[in-house]
Amino acid sequence: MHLDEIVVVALTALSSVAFLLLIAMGLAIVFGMMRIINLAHGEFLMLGAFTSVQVARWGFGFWLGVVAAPLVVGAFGLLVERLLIRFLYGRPLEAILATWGLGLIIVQSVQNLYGPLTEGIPSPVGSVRIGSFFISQYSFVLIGFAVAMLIAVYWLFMYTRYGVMARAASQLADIATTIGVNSGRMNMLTFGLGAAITGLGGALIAPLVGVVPTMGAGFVAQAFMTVVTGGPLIVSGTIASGALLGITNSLVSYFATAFLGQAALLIIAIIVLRLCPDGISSGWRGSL
Amino acid sequence: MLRPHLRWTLILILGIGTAALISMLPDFRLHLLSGWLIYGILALSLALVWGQVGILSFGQPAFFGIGGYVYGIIAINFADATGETVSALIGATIAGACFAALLGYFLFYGRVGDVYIGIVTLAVTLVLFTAVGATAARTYRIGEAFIGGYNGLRPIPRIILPGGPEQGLTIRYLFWFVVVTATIACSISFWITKRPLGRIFVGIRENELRAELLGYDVRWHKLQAFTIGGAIAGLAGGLFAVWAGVVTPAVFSLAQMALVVIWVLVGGRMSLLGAFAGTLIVQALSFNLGGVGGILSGQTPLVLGTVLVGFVLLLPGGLIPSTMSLWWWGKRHLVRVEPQPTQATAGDVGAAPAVREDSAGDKPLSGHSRLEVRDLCKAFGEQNAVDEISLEFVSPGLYCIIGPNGAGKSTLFNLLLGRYSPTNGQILLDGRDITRVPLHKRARIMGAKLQHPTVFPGLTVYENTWLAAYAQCRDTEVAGRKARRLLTRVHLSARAGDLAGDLSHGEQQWLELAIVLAQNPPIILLDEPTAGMTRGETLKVAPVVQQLADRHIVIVVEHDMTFVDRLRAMVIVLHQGKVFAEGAINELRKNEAVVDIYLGRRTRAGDS
Repeated sequence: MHLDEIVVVALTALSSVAFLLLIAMGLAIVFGMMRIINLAHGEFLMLGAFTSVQVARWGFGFWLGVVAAPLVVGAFGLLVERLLIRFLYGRPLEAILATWGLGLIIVQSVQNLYGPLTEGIPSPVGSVRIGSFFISQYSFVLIGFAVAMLIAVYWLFMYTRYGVMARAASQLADIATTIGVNSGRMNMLTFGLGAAITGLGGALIAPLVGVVPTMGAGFVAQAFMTVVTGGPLIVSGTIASGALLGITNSLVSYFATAFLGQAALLIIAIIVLRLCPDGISSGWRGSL
Repeated sequence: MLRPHLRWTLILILGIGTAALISMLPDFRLHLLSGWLIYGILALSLALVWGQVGILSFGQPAFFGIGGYVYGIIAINFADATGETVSALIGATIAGACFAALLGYFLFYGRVGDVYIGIVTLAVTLVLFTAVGATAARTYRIGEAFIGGYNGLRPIPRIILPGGPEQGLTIRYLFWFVVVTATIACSISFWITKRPLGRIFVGIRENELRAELLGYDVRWHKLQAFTIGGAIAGLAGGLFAVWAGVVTPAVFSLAQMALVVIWVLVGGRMSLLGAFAGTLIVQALSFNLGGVGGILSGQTPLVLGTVLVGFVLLLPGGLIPSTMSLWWWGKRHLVRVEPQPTQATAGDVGAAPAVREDSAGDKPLSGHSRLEVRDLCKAFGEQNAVDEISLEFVSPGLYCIIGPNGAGKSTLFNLLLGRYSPTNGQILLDGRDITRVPLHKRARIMGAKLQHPTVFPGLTVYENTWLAAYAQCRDTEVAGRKARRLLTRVHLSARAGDLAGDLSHGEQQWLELAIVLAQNPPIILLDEPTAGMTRGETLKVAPVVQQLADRHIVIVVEHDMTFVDRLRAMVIVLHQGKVFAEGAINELRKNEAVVDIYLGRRTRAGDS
């Protein structure tokens, strides 16, 4: 293996990790903070992707879509929380089923609007040559956004009034309420935040994948495996599991086949869960 | 309720009538019905796993799909040689069971939480979808069978019975074959639910912790149920492959998973027949409304999504149980009230339930006589909640553990019980190290009444006690006798047929006591047995506990000093994770230091 190949493989692995983090972080927040498993997560990603497609269609270009997607999907998330999710706190299994139903409704509605065909969105950047290999500059975009998103989430939960109150509400809702935290409002905001980050992820992966109404299903398994493997600490746990699963997946895919890469991701996740059932970060210190 | 033989005759007549009507249907209708019945078998597998044992599995379509592929692979390769494909169907069943067992082993023995089980099974199924979809290349073949990626495995041979016609079963015969298979699958499932195993399953669904405390190996039983569910789903998958003539990765799709859950949810997950009813209703609706020319043509997901959300929010029990309970309600309120057998009710217990009177046959299970705790430590983070505690409990004897909040009482209780494993130190029973013996195996040694009544709320009072007795004797009859006797003792006989969840708090405490008595272990742990009881009830508990201590080691963790006074037990005072003092309560009251840290403050604060 030459140096250039090593660099390319490493970059591919990194962007694969970034990809996982972008599609999983919104889910990790909603699940980690609120114990709600949002099975419509894949559909939230799809809505983000479609927002960017729509914005590009109106001629505003790709980057404005990346800005618009979290806003649109975040607002949609707030609406969903008010209309559906708030009835399901403390009923995790029912929440799974209801959000699933929601996902089916979203897919069909988008299909009615846009049709079942794949929408293309071209990559906004070209590719760069490393030795005898070419690698898309978009890998760097993904990595950059993933890092920025992680820093923003960390800052938001550690250093803002909202973040401290949201963490308080998620740990002991009753007590948080008695000291004046409106945990209903916190939950609403947290769900909206998770949806917004998911929307961002959707917009960012749009140039890499076919944008179809049913695309969500393809990512939901990976996203869930990442979150479940990550465990209770939503930032550090998700980074760790994203790194573990993303690197495994991309290395196996590179040296074997994409099929084996997917299988390896699953097997690693199951083995990790067998060893630490509450996820990698279950024994870690810290709160994020 | 009709008498059993009458009921069966009725079912038989209905069955024959329906069969006659059905056989007049044209082929394409029959084919449709076969499909729905096959889906019904798949739904049955989920009703068993989810409705009976409480495992929300999205993996049923995975076992179903694997069954389909395995049927196809075996039949394509061997049908010519063996001249039948029934073995392929059996292979499909076994494959479903094996895959379920493997997955279940990781899930249950890895102690993956309930909600995570949903996610992991979902992810596994979706990964199968992607993985099998990636097998389009001609290199992916097993013998003569090409897996075929998203195009699927095809053509799937028909069912060929041994000695039957070579071209296999036609649509009409396939239908009857499916009917027979569905009946068999259903009968086996019913048979299981009626057996002790079925009750254990429901017990696990109702209260996993209590089931484990009684000595049931929850993980093993969950694995059993999951494997049976996998087998049934695999069987359905094999039939489906025959029915459709092709298996594609679509069987692993999210849509398929959603459908299975919707069928069961609509029918009512608690009822096995509800699974079939739900399947027929949902499929008939989506065929007629969502099919070509229907008013909601092409909008099936919209309908299904709405049904899912609607049922979860408005009718979580499903159609069949909801209608049934309406029927029961009507019968009870509109027809006539069945006279209840009149016996003493639990409310007006004059004297304390007399535990001692016929306690002849109730020697503790085994004659263990000494429980010893050596240098026991349990740390949470930096804090030692229990700090090098050494104690000795000798049978028979009554011990009371007291101490201010945070003294380590509950931690010690849970260490003894086996819910926590200690950071350091040993627990010895007659010199034998039992420190690492898991919860369910400790049930032969110790039984516990937890602070919050831990019973099976969805089972009747009788079934609660029966499950406790059965865990030890493994004999339906003996357990039944024992359960009835114990219910008389705690004056709950009149409520034997009521759900434990409908009992008052105090009654649930007595029921839990009956459960521990039925279990009859040499060591009995009671965590605040009088919590939430009235003063009067508390007074009745004390003599019962004292009587128990004639034969058992009884260890009580208590807060209520009046109650401790009455017990006249050996008292152990814990303070900051250490044993602070030991002795009779009267002596301890004279101990200034003890009064300072605990008793005095309590007395000044009003002694309760």
